[in-house]
Parts: sequence; structure tokens; C-alpha cells
Amino acid sequence: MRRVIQLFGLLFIFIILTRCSSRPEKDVDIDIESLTLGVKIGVSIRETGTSRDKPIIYITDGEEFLNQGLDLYLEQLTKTSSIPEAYYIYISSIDMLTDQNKRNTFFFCNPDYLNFFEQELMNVVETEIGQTFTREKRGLVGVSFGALNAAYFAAKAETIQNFALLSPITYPCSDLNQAIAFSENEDLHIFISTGTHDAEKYMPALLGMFESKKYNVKELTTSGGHDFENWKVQIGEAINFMFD
Amino acid sequence: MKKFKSILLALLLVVIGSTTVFAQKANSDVTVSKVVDISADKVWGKLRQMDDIDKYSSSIAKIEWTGNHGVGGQRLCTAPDGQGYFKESIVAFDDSQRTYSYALLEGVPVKGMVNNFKVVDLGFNKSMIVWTSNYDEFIKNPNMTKDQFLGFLNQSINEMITNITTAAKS
Repeated sequence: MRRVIQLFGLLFIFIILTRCSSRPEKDVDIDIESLTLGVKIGVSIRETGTSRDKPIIYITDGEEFLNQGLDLYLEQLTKTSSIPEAYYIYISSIDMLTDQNKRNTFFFCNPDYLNFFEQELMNVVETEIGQTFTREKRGLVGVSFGALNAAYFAAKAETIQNFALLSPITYPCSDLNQAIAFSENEDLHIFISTGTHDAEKYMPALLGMFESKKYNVKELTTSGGHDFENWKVQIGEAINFMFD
Repeated sequence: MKKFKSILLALLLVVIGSTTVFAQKANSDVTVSKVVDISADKVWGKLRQMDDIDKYSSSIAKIEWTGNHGVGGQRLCTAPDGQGYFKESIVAFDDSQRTYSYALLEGVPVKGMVNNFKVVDLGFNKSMIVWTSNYDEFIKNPNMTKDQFLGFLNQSINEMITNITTAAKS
């Protein structure tokens, strides 16, 4: 009987240890009612892998990324060890109060959106995860106008070091280059890409500005277009560059 | 002090005495413009070089250019005394519009200053050189008042525009 109890004891310890080492991944959907923006935004947290020490990657146009199945694709890439484990934060641009997509307001060098991001969103998300991330462990991915927003954040945000700008279209923000020129941010890692018949026109100026700041910049030109098919094939490379 | 007053007076005379060059408040904090009897392409041909403004300004002895010859390029301008300097970053450049803008990053007592050169084609071998300046804030300092700084700026730009015009004519 004593031996049986000992065996059960060992089994219990084994189960506890196993559960601790394979903590369940966190998948949570939350709504944030922003005081700064006066909107209600949906945010989806998706965790890949079970380790605790990993980066957090914020993704604008989050609803589109989820619709395109990019979350599953990133999970797949993680399972094959093609990219590091991470927390992915898919941030919708749709105001749930009006059902309007506000990307053309949020993404055009908007200091209120930056305040929302740094003062509200990050606090809520990182409290939900139960961890505060350093600047070095935070990344931001944006596509098209979302990449314009990422470029603006690269100039202005004090809380993020790593950026992926996929097909940045910059014409709506004439002051972007001067924001970069006057930026006090240092040591940024910036992945910047364009397809063909895509954002080629806007790349040289952005590259010139980022290189003048001596940032660590990686440039990629693909034969793809201004679409998720193109962005999907490069997202792994972007993430690896940001957090390698 | 007497010498300083004479310099200020001379500066004032240059600004007031000029008939073709004038400064005004518009959407910009400062605007200087000059109509010249030279084609826009010829004037722009000189202005677009950007890395040789030491030829046209007596307040700049040396230029060190780094980076692109376009957006992102930077020029470090050293004063004739070899001590003073200012650093500028090109933030816009457009050959088709004959315009470029540069941000003053270091060496001036202002925050957020962005200046722009534009050559407007007036046809019949005439053009107008327009220089505008915007800044966020003057930084108080023991060396120079805001008026003195703006006066210096005005004088420098007038001199540069005059010299570029002469060079474009030849």
C-alpha cells in the first residue's frame, strides 16, 4: 500500500512538472474602449509556443490578418522553428461602436493613435498577458498605410524598437520625413519591403531617412503585389530580422 | 557694442534696401523670394546640387555631405571660424517640382526648423526662387536674440539667392 502511495506521489509530481513546462498558449480576444480615440477596438492576443521569455509583436489591420489566416500561418512557422515563439497582438482598425474602419484616420501620422497605442493598448494587452515587455522585445508590423503608421511610430514611439514596414504608402503624411529627421530614437531595427508595381516609389526616401539615422535596416523587393499573398511570403523573414 | 550696432544696421539696410528680394509672413514663419531673368531649369540646375552651398554663402566655409544625394542626405556646414557648424538633413527632393526641403538638426538656436527652396517657372526665361522657413520654437541663448537670428537667416539666404542667380546666369 505504501509503495502504491509512493508511486501515486511520483506520478502527481510528474504531472505537475509536465504541466508547468508546457503552459497552455494564450488565445484571448478583448475589446478596448479608448478614451483617447473615442472608439471601441477589438484586439486578439495569440501566443505561439510555451516559453515565457519571448517578444511581443503588435500587428495593425489585425482583422485582415486574421481573415487571411495569417495567425495560423505564423503558428505553423513557429512549429517548424522557422520563426521564434512570440505573442502576436492583432489590432483591429474597425470601430465597434460605428462599424467603421478607421485606418485612414489612425494611420496617417496620428499622434492620438500613438497615444492610444502607448498609453492604453499596451497597458491593457500586457496586463492581460501578465508581463511587461521591454522596448527591445516589442515589435510592430504594418502593411500599406499601416506601414506608414509603423514608419511614424518608428520616429515617435519611445516603447518599440523593432518595425516591419510591408509596402509602405507614405503620401498621406507629408511631414513623415521630418519626423524621422528630428527623431531621438536610436538603435531601431527596421524591415522594409515592396512588391512590384507596389510601393517602389516611396521606398528610396524612407530608406534614405532611416539610413541617415544609422538604423539597422533590411530592404526586400519581391515580385509580388500590394496584397496579403505577397505579405504572407515575407512575414517570416520580417519577424526573423526583427528578433534574430 | 558700436561694432555690433553697425552690423545690425548694415543687416537692416540689406533687408530694407533690396527691391527684388523681400521677406514676408505667409503660411511660413519666414519667406524670401526673388524674381530673376533666368530660366527655372538653369536656376534649379544650380540649386539641386545641394552639396556646394559653401560657394554661395559667406557664412559657410566647408560642406561635408553624407548619404544619398536626395532625401536622407545630410550636410554638415562649417562656419568660416572653423568652430561653428550646423547640420542639415534633406527631407524632400523633387526634380519635377524643382524643390527641396531640409531640416536643421544641430547648430541653430531653434527647434523643428524645416526650410524649403522652390524654383517657380514664370516662362519667357524668367523664374522665381522662393525660400520658406518654418520652425517650432526659438531657444533662448546668451549669444543671439530671436530677431538677430532671423536677421542673420534673412541676410544669408538673400546672399545665397543672389550668388546662385549670378552663377546660373554664367
